[in-house]
Amino acid sequence: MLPHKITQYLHNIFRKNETNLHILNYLFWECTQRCNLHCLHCGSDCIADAKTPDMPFEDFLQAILPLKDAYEPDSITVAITGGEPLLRKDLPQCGKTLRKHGFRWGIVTNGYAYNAEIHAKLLSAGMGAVTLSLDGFEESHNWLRANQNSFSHAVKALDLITSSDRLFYDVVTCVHQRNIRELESFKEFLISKHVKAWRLFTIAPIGRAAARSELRLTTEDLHFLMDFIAKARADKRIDTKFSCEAYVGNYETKVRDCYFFCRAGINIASVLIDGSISACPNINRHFVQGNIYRDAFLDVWHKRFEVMRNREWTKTGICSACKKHKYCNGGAMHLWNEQQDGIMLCINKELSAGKT
Amino acid sequence: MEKFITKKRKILRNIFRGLSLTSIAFVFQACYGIERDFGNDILVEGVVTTRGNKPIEGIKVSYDNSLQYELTDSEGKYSFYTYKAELNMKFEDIDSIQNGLFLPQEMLVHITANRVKLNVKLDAAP
Ligand code: SF4
Ligand code: SF4
Repeated sequence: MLPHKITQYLHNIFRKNETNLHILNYLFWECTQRCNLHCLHCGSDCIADAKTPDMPFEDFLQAILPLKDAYEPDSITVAITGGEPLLRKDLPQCGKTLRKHGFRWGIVTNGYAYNAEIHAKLLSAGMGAVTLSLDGFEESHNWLRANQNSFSHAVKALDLITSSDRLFYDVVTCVHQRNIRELESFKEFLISKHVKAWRLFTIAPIGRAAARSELRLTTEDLHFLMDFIAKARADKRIDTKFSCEAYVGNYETKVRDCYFFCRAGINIASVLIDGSISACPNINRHFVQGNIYRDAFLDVWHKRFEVMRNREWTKTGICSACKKHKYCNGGAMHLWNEQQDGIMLCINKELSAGKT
Repeated sequence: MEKFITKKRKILRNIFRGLSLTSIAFVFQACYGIERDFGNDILVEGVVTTRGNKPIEGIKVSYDNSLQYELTDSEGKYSFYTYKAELNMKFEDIDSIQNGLFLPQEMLVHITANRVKLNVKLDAAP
């Protein structure tokens, strides 16, 4: 085993190289802004009847087809997201067409509308991956999702998803003050449901979450979460990890498979509901790089995205004097706002502040 | 020159991929995204026609008694993805006399490629 300093140094070279190459292999498609839930923490402010209509699939397809000449389409995963993608009646058809063009695809879902029939249809359409949100036991989940039936629906979805030998899937849990103390028993619940992979997030203060302080973890909670993940990873009964959302200092390789690396604009792009071309959909819309209705997607990918590929500008605000900047590179793109004058929050700083 | 630099970077990338300590870094997923899909799947497609080669619309094509099924389109075409190497396929006329009346057909299919063409002719019901 190489010392941490050397592996971190190698990772920096790796990150720089990946940034220079910027090979696209992860593409979000925000196919709808409609949603069947109204979660307290939603970053996209979706509603049942979104003002922006769903994007016609043909528009998305035409925009991304040139990717087939630039890359091996099989190496590109299209993550269909929303809103709730299951609200699109043509979802299986969209997915199958993508797969026939060689792209891999999957969905991010709250599971509310996921049933045996749609499960079968999506598998037939070549779906290969699903991420399901499950935020703790019934009371906590239903509270966050603001719906009394959301837990039972999501668990039914979970049973279907885990029954498939084909799917790559994971459960994601947003951790907040109300569910953090039930993580241990919830882990046992997931294991009993044969879940193999589990990702935990904190909730960023964006969208509806910005106004709710109980969704933010305290410093003590953050340490609890990191220790919990590190322990769950060590006992290897379920592949548990902290999401890619932040550099976490000494916890780095204890809570994830690899070092923090925000790949927005480096390997990750998106086509948003109005045709905007960006990276992850949760990034401030000020960072939009083009629009499929005006620009050639591949051109934008190759020639723009400078703001995400050269993050020197992030040396401002609390990041300006940060000794960890060389490893962290200014944190998560989704935590920067249009003023670009400082990151909204730094989990590493919070963790360090709580050190005794 | 640009090409040369890119080639060098790609070589470096492969070196990193070869090093077990960072190869895992290639299997990344975005925080709010799905896992990458590296699974094998097989596209099964074909056309359902009459003995006289006329396409039949609305035939239910299912396999392994599962809920997974497709209906043939106006050109008699169907297609679906599976990961199974052996399929018990069933072709059934479920729309009664609309589009004609045909006898069902069942067959066991062994799949050896990742794209399979399976055209089927159905007998008209007596
Ligand atoms: S912007 Fe956020 S969600 Fe996207 S890769 Fe960076 S940290 Fe992850
Ligand atoms: S202050 Fe900025 S650079 Fe330093 S660890 Fe936090 S987010 Fe990263």
